[in-house]
Amino acid sequence: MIILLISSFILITILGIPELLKINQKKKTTVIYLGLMSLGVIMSLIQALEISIMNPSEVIQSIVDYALKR
Amino acid sequence: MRDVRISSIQLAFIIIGFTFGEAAILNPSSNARQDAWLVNVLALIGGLILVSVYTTISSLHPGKTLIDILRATFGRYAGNFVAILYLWYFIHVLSLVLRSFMEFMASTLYIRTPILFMAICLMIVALYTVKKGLEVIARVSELLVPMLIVTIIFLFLALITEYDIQNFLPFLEFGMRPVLKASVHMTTFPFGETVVFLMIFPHLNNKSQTFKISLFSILSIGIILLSVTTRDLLVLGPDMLERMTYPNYASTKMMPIIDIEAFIATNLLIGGGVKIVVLLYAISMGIAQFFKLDDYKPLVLPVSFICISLSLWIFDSLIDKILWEETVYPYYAIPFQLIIPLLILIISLMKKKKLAE
Repeated sequence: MIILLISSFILITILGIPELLKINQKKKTTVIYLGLMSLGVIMSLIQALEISIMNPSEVIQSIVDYALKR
Repeated sequence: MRDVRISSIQLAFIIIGFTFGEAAILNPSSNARQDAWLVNVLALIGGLILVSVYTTISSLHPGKTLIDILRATFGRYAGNFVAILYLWYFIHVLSLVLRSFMEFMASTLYIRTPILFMAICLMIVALYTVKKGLEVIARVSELLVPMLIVTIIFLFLALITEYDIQNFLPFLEFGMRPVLKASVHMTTFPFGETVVFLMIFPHLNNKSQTFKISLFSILSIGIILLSVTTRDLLVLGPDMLERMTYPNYASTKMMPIIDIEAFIATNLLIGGGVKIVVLLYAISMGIAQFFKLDDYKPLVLPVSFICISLSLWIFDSLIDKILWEETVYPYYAIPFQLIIPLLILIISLMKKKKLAE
């Protein structure tokens, strides 16, 4: 699963390279592009490795529950 | 960025397709049982008020998108912070829509297909459309959304022999409380989600028509959703309407003689597709504007990747998703759909008054 994730990350990153080469702000856009891709990979890794942390919906639910109790 | 322009009629079709999107498979008013039609009417009023607020904000800030409006209203730091919150909200809504469609397809038509595969297929189409630009999104909506409307009218008439008027009774059996609760839910989903159009209103070629055309679109979709709910209630009855996960789909299966299952799913995909495309465009454009980039297109691919990952992560099962949407979503959405837009409106009006003085 991890190999599949890393290979899809590399594949998707490669797919985006031709477009990144065409634009004006290459450096800035590449940094943001890779930052967003890394975020996606982290989310996928959390699921693939079954790391037990609260998902965003559970976090929002906790915040809403806390606000309603207050 | 290239100045993109869309016509009023194109905007109307995008709003109708977007609002019908997820509501095509999930009926947020079904909890009110035989009073579901009343929920639709009340939510429509709420939706019209919300859209009036959004269009007024847009007219007070001509040519500015939501990210620019937030910076202009709240200042650089607070504005950027609220912009991040909005970008997160749009990403989360897109993931919710994607998950809804994956679950729907997996539990009705493609029972043995992995939901990840369906998410990737749907996102590839959305990604391609968004990369082609807003004009293409508008033209695709102009082409496909009328098909939705025709199908709804056809289904409403085709099921007429199955209608039982007694299903409307007894009126307000459990009082106004469940009706009001479901109305708030329905106002936040799908009407309140049109806050994302603050990213699209600046691209309308005739800005003086933004208010009129948006209100007309919401009124049209309100009537469409009312007809869908009435059809489901009359065909299924209040008990089945409340219990069914996908009442719209179930009612169409009651059609005598012909089986149009796949045809219905295609129509649901059109509505959902428009919603996913609009949200993906708004997120990519929003991130590009946040970081002051010239072009949003290189960001569409990583945003799609994030949304697919998030859609699989946010819920363990369909039951979790339904419960979360009923109990948490209205409270979560109200700040983004009502409180912050109202604050923007008040501050903008005060600034305008100050400038006039």
